[in-house]
Amino acid sequence: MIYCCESYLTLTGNPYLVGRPGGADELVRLFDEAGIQAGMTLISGADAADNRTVWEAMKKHPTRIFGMCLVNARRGQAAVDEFRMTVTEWGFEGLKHSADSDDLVKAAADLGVPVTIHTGGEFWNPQTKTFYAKIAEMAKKYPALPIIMEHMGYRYSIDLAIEVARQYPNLYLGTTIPAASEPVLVKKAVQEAGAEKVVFGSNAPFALADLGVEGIRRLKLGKADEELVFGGNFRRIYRLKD
Amino acid sequence: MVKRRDFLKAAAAVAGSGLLGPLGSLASQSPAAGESRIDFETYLPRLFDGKPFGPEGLTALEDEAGVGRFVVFPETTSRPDNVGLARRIKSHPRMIGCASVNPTLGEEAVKELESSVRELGLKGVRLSPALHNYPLDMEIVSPVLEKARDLGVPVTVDGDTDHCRPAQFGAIASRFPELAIIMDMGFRAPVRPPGEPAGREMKEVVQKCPNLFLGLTALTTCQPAYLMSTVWAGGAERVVFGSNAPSGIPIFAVKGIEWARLGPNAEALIFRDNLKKLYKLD
Repeated sequence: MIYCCESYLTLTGNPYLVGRPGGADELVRLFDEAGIQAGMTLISGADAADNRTVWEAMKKHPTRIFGMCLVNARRGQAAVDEFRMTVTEWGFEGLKHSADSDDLVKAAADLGVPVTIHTGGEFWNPQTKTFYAKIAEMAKKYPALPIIMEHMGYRYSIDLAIEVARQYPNLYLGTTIPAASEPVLVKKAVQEAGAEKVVFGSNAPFALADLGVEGIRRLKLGKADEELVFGGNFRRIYRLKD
Repeated sequence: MVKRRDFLKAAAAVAGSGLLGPLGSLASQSPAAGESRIDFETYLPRLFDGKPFGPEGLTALEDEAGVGRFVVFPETTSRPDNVGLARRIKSHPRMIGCASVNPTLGEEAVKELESSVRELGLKGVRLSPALHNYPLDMEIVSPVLEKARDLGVPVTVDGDTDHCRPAQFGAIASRFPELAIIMDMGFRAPVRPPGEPAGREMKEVVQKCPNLFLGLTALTTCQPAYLMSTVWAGGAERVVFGSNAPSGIPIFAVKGIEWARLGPNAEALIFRDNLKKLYKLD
């Protein structure tokens, strides 16, 4: 079974949908098209939406859409409070984070909710190295907290992402977009960091989810490793019950 | 609900002269169905995915995608092996061999380009400002661009990092108006949907520089917003298809563009006709 570690709940009219419909039903349709059972889902920054929009979608599709909370860390304690509420009252199971608020990460660690961080950058820029060092610091400080590095550093920082993932058992690599754009990068991650560290992500609807799935399949990782990437690691990280 | 067609209309309206007008006007130029595709960007590394890789592997990927001819560059190293590329593709007429040079090497790069075209028969050149670490509009690049212009070969360039932003493309395209430049839109294409302020710059540069073309590879085409925004910025006459194979999968790039349902005329331009003109192919 395929699980996705990052997808977006969009509203129709979102410019980045380039004319396609948005909404929970459409996201589920895209999951169906790609053979995805369920996905961690958050709101898109381009929409006038909030976590409540995701909560409504979760209620409509409880076995398909799992809530990932997105809050503005600059709101300080109010952001932390909202995050806690989405977990304890609405059943959210993840936090999308930008590595700039220790208070939010601490709350995630307290609640036992995995954190997802967007990673990319160009390896030749000094600030890129600083960014990955911050992720490493976070992983070290909260060793029981699973942290998924979405996009695996993209093409220009994948080595940095793999390097820190190898150092910390609680750091994972999300295949979001590279699985469709350059699948061989996912194979590199599996070979160098281990299949148990790589988690499938689609980035639907902003990327073509079926190509991401097909990209992983074409790697011929072997049944056991492919199962880990597509679902096994996700189920372990998000503590899904069979 | 906003439909795809509405999006294209909106794009055209925002652009003033956008996607719909040019495509409609080219209806009579639609090529014969079944003519195969041309890929603007592939590579021929000696090792790929930890295994030996050769022309046969690349050809198999292109066959799967219905690609007839494909531009092949050598692996991007500090001194790309253009001689080795020419030797490896010699018995593969579907491959359009092109050089890759590093302008930070100065006069050596200019000589390398000249010998690659005149002696090895290569048909174009690639610049990699990201991996060779120089800003595209830096003066050291000019001698290479002058040579490409004099040789009459197209130049393909990375387009998704800090070294090669739209304004930098605009600068070199304006300085060398006779030179055809293909901007590889890469992974994080510098385009945005109509109405998004960050997307205007690319469109303005394309409008100002008729010698600038936008290249879509599998890196871009799996992301509908970047794909559609590239077509919006360039219009189908200025967009070319590619894969970035073997790292990008050609059939994925094809599927991405087909997903966009741009219509047969636009697809003919993007998949084939624009590159035929740029590389002066039969």
